[in-house]
Amino acid sequence: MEPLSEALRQVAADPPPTTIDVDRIVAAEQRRARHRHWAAGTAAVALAVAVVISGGSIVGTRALVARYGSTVNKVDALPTHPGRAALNGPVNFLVVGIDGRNGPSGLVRSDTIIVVHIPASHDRAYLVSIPRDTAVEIPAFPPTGYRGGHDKIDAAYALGSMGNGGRAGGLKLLAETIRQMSGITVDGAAVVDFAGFRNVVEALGGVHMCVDEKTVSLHIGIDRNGRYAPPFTTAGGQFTPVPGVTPVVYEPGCRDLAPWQALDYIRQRVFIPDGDYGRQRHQQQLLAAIATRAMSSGVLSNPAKLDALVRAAGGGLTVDFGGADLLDWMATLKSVGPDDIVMIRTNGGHYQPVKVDGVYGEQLSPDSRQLLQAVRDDTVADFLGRHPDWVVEDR
Amino acid sequence: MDVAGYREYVAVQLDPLRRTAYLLCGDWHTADDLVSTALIKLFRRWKRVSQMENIDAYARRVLFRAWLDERRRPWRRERFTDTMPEPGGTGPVTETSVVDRLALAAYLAELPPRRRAVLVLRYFCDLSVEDTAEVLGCSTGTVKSQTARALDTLRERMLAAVTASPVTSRRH
Repeated sequence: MEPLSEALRQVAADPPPTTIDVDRIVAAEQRRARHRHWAAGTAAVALAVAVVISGGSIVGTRALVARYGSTVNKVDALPTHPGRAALNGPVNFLVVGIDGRNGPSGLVRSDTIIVVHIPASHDRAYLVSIPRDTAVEIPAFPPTGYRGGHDKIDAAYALGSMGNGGRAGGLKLLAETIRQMSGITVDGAAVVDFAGFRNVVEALGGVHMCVDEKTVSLHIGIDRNGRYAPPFTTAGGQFTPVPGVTPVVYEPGCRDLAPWQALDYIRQRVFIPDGDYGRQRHQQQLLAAIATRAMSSGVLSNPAKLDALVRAAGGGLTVDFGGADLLDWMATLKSVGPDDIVMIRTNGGHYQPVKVDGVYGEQLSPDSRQLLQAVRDDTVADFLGRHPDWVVEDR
Repeated sequence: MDVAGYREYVAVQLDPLRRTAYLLCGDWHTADDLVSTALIKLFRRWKRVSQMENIDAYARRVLFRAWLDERRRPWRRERFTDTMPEPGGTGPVTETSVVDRLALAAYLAELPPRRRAVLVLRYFCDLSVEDTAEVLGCSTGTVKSQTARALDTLRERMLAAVTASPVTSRRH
């Protein structure tokens, strides 16, 4: 039936110019992929801070340092600042929680971004979360061919780690983005993925946390036969309960949480009244809980347990000491105890939506800008004197 | 994920996919919609798709299903009219002559979706019976019988057009 082939070819002979814009499809799909449930991995963060903060009590554990050096990944991504190596004066440590899963676009987002600010007195650690949806100007990054532009801050890590950028590239672009937006210099940093984080909480045998609001799990439920099952399906942005599956609920109150409970609790965002701000707070609380458990449970005085903890972090953790080394950081932090960790609510805990160049995000309130300036100028104590309600009281 | 590879694939296949889509749905705007839908689905699964032996077959299957989905939308459902939408062919038409384009497009549009798809896949995309069966998700026997029936219908319509008055369309 040759004539039919020919006829069909003629029927479809001259197509009009297409309305299909492949670039737009790719860009939209990459954006969509980024915005899927990165929540999950994010919180990972904590571990790094725990390792660094708890490091204060383990100065001199040379064997640990050696172990640490051989299991944890080290990178040199941050610019070195002459004279800063000794870590005198105020220092800032950046903690980045990533979702280790590669999205369909292959991009790795940083869901959790916390700046740990140590004032010049070296007797406190302030935890300042930068909301992942904060709209920022991301500078160009030649190594991955990114030309710069407006985006949410969680894109900075992704854009820096594309291709061969890896964790070093992600860290570098994120640190530079933070420096340009706030003037804050990052002296050291850690990147943790979800697995590394989970391993540490498991090595600690769980943590003691105070649940501060009733939290229904979007991710873990129990079916009629007592088996774990996803309690909700997420189609088209709608969360539909799965019949017969009861979601796990975290009621307010202080208790010991099993590792899976702690990790599930701090990834919840959808069903809590203050959304991502609640989650940022819970993540900070878990960070503090890990540090507390590590310092109080004898882990730090028991070389075998400590060794297990560090090895648990292992490949899931990447650190950059910005020209200093672990012992310098330990020395800097040796007088910071669990009760010296101060958690701060960015934006006072309120959402500030904004749309810049077609990208929905949120902006930092004027007060939050002042907070970042205070971090830069080492005047956080003064800032909190003016904003006492920005301090998270629940531990 | 290999975004560059995806772009490369789309650059080469965009035109053939659009033509195939047009033959399925008979309207270039809808064709572009269908191809867009298919491209998005392809992108989301590209990591796996790019490993496939026959990416084209997968792409056509996605396109075919996008079209079936589109047809099920309420505003695409058929409407009844008392006149034929298109006049038939005007000259003497035989199987061996090149059929008037508009007439053929109209006849195609009257075929049920699977029969139309069978013709497009086999005679426009030049697929074998087996490959066509794979795209449509049916047996080779079904492909053959659907092809035969589709061809019969086309033949009938063409002959009817020849015997009908060449100037005015016939009322049914």
